[in-house]
Amino acid sequence: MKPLQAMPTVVLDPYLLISMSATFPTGLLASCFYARFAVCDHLLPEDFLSEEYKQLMQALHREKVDTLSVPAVEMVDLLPMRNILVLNQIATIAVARFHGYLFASDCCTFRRAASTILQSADVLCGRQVCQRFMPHYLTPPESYIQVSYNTHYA
Amino acid sequence: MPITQEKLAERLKAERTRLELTQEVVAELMGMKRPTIAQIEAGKRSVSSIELSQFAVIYKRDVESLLLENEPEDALGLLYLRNSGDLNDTVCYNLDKCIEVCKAATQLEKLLGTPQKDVSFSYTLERPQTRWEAVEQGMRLAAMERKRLELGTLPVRNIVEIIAQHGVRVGRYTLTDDVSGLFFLGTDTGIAILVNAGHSTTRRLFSYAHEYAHLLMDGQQTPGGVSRYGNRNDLLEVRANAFTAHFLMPDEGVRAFLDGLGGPTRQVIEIYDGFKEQAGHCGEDLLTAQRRTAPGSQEIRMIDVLRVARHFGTSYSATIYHLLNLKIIQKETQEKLLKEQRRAEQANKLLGSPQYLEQETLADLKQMTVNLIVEAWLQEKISRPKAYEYMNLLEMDPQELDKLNIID
Repeated sequence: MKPLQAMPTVVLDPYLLISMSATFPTGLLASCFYARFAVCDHLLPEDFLSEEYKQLMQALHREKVDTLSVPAVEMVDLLPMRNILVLNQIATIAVARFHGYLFASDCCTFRRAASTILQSADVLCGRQVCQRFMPHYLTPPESYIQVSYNTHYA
Repeated sequence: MPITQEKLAERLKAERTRLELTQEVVAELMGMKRPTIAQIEAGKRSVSSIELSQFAVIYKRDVESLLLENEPEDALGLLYLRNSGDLNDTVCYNLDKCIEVCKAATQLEKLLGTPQKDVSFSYTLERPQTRWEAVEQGMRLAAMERKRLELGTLPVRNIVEIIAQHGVRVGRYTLTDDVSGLFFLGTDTGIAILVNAGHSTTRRLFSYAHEYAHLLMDGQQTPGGVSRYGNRNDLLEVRANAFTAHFLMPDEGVRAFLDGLGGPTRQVIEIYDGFKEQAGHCGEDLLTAQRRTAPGSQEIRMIDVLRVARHFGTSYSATIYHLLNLKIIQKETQEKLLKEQRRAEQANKLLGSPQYLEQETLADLKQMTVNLIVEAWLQEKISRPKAYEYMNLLEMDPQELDKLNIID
């Protein structure tokens, strides 16, 4: 008999959470049996466009994802990333590393930066999250990423 | 050696003390209880990333500067300027803003693989001991620089472009009226020249050249300087002014231009025909052609000065002083011409803005940085939120970037 494996936790890029929340039925993330979803608690209104922040708060409320914090000193060695990422993105990577969780984003620059810190197998895109943890849900449309991004940000 | 929780606690306490804030006040601003602040400052409770961001806002510091083991070195130039004294709040704010933009531009250039520039184009000179020596050095350097740029006697129609070609950032910011411009250089800011946006265009073009002179002659010795009315007697300022006048208005160029405008009342041309070399003709006079020029054209008039000024892209008054220095006009004429300043301004308005003044559009730090942001984002060197952050830094609407429809 195989020992029971702990349910993996995926730390989501806030933008991915917004996309998923808008694409999938309400509560799909909250009721997922295969993974627990979380975001970093480093979510300051000034880090987002006002419309984005509103959508994010709605998504957090809708999907009941956890918010995780990370000690500031855990970000010290990640500070050189400040040139390419904003502070909440760095904190998100630090959260995933600190707790040993998976990380997911649809932004390739963000994923590339995370891959330099985390195991590359622990860095996922939105499609991989769907395929791996929502197998019973219909595969999202081919243009999932583009559609969701265009819907919300174009 | 990364910073520890204890070290961070000490730093936070030091920052609070520096601003003379009590733990109660900070606790209220942070939405915490006072004992929590006490615990944090004693190193007994860790600070989360979001809490540190809030502390940074309250203590008016960057998160990086609170976390880095060593305090980050500010732009050398800025430090120099700050120490140079009584700059007012407007100048300080604009300086700080400009430094931030320059730092952002440097970071973006590094990400894009653009080679960083230094002041290797500058000259090494002894510090002048007298005013005369300063003027001589400035004049000599101006001639050398004109030669290097192969300008001949032509006017400098593209001073901003010449400066920008050295990799120097050029910008216009509102400074106090007594400050014409400034320059600074540092590893994290690159090299930058700022001129006072509140001054007239011709004055600004003079200021660009003046600050360029400082970079050429003082860049290796000093990381920055402010050109202002109060330090006009400084020998380095005198040297830079002499450079600027002779760089923008070369002696030969001015004389040649003036010759074209008119000369003595009677002009005589002797016609050489070759017969003079033949035997029997050597004693004969050559044929001559003569004409009498228009009345008054032998004198330098207001309109002549204005034409010289417009030709070389300098101001009316700067041109008068330069003509006096070149001994083209005498003291009395100078005084007479200076009295006609108002009429000269009206005449200048009538003649319209010379086209080459449009070169100044290059002097736009903000625009240059926007281009870098878009390029870095297109090349996936920065994330979208970071691109937005840079736009916020430029005090521009980040949503403008969405018009580009880039999907990351």
